[in-house]
Amino acid sequence: MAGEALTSVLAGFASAVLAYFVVVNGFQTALLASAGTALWRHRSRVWQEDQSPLLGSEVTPTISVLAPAHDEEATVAESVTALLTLSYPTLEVVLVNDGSADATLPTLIDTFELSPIHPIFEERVATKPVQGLYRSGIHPGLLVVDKVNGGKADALNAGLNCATGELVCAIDADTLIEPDALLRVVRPFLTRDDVVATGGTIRVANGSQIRGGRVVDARAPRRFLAGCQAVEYLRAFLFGRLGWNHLGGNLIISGAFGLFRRDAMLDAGGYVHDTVGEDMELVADLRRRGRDNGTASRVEFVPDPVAWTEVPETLRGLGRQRDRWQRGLADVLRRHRRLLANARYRGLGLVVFPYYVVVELLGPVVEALGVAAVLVGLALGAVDARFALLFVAVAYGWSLLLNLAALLLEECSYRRYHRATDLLVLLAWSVAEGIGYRQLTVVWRLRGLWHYLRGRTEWGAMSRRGFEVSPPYT
Amino acid sequence: MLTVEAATFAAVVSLLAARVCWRRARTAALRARLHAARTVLARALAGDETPSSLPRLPWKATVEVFADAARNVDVSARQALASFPAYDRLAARAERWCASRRWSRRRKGVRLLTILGAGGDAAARLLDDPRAEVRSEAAAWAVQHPTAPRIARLVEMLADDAHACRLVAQAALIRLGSRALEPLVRHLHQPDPAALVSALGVAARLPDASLRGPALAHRRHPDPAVRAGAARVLAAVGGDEAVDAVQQCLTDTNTAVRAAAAQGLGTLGHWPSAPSLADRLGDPAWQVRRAAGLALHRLGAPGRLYLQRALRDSDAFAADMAHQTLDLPEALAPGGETS
Repeated sequence: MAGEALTSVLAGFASAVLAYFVVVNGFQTALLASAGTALWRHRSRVWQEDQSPLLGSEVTPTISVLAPAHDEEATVAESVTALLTLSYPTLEVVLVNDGSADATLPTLIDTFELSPIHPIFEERVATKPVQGLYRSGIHPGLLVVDKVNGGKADALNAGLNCATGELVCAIDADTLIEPDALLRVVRPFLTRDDVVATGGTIRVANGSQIRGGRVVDARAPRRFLAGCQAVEYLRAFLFGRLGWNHLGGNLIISGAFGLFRRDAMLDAGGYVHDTVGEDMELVADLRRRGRDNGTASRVEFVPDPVAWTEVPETLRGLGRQRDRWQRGLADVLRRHRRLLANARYRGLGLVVFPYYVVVELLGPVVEALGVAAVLVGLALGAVDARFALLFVAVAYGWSLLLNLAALLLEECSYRRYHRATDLLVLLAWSVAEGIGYRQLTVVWRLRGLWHYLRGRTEWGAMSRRGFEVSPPYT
Repeated sequence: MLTVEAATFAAVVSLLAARVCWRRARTAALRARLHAARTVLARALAGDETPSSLPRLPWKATVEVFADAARNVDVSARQALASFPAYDRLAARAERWCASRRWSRRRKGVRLLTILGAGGDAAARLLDDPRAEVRSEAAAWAVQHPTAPRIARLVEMLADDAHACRLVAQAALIRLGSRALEPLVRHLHQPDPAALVSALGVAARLPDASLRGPALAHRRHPDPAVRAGAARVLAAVGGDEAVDAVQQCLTDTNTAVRAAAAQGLGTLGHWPSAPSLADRLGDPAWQVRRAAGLALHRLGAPGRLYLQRALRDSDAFAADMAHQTLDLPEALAPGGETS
């Protein structure tokens, strides 16, 4: 009797998992279709676009790039030089030295001939004490803020207080931005006045040739973890984020490269300190406030501005990153829970937020429970083995098709990887990604949820190999 | 289901492979001709009066080489490109596109005409297109082909509902300079505050005595954004009457107007305003205190005298702002700060 009841419970659960699978993958396919259309339109919009009038225009909004740095002595000079040479007419680079214990500040002082100043800035967002401000004698657009260590969010807030641009571009210290990325990512601000934030594509730089803080030769990563992440990033940005543009808007702008209205950020109180998902929290807050106050609330993803980042290549490093991302996601969704299914917020409340709760937050739980139920069901004979195998094969195949579609979009649009061999390598990683890597990320995300429920809030150390830097041009 | 997936997988991989092969073959086939075409166009732009004929290229590649060549030279130099038959073919196609029923094609058409430095009535008509994307593109074209009616239309576009059109019209009118003044002055008499703010933004960058009258008329406008815009224009234009009006704006009820007035007096370098600016160092709004401090710094010795006096001010806010301003390095003071 008990066995029969368990069997029917397992069968019911299996049906629920099947339904979940169909809904999630159906939505992913809808995102893909939406992204395909958006990409087509975007290509038409930028056809033979000339950016030079923007460079010489007096009405182009000013941009301040906020770059937090902590113990970056080895790379800071090159990173700042790369930022200063970005194509944009009214650019200010605000580097925030977040209490580095190494020679980051002396290196900057020597390289850029910094001299201490006491500029006038209003501390609209509270931060750890600012110890000094420096202006470069050779690059008037460079401002260095030296402050007591307070973490990335605190450093960005300090930069936000000191910045003067109408728009601020928040980046990670190890992000390599393509020279014309700012001219591209600013477009939505020039065409609509209801845009509060925009984001560009993040790509994996591991394995590529880096020179002078720029990716000079994009290569597909040859190592397993980096390769799988390259495919994952392509899928997430090229059709995930782009697809959301027409399905309720994005809830995430990557902390590695995003452009925001400074006044809206200041009104929102800047980045929140007590979360590990500060970038997502800011975007959710900006969208909610915009809707509540009837001000700018649109968040747009722009596919062609590109920033390159180094992804972790060790299981330990990647596990920590995914654990942190999941904790951040859970925290942000909890903080903004009143958006859930709230018709007042239209697409954000009715589509985007529920998707993030059901798919991104609870996805790993459902997947893990599904696997466990199938195993128990197989052991008890409640689940047909052929059906279980068929289900796994279909699930893997669907995911593989989505990966391939992302590759096809890449090949038909931006083609950052010029060699056919790189495309073949990415094809191989697309096939491999669903075997082992995907399951590992489920485990790490589950661990992140567990840690979140137990109240763990630290970032965890991130270890990276460092870019393989080519010799400088002579 | 698996069969469908396998078939789709095979189809996508085949598509990907075919696309890569086609791209490689096409690149290889076109490389030499593209190089030759670029060389021919570069020679023509450099003044070679008997350039060789262009190698035959697919039309997209032709657009690409003409665009590359044309973007690096001004409109008059682009006339050298007009001697090539391919130029006429591209211009004719662009004109046809300008009349297309599809708005994205009309946008492409007018953009291509902008690149080529060509076009006439077909492009000008798009200044009144129902799609904002097309209107803004046509505005960019109109800068290269300014006539009185087109400039007047650009000025009207300052009141366009679409942000993109207003922005492009502003940039276009600033580039046109004095030719835009007359319609701009007429436009400054209209009642819509949003359109006025946009127009005053352009006027502040085209300082001319003819703008003083309309700006003075708006200094008591009920909308603070208009008053702030008027203060900026008056500060840019200058003159006794304008300076008096800007000084009065220092006591406006709105923060943005007071800050714009303080900044404007600093830009003008009007040292008799130093006492009024020093009073604003104790303003309740930080932006106004900052603007007053920087303005005093820009006034030179008289301004610094008032700042040093303010260091002993009983108002702690005024003393603090004076302290911060006096700490600014000289290099940052005149024109160095951004608002």
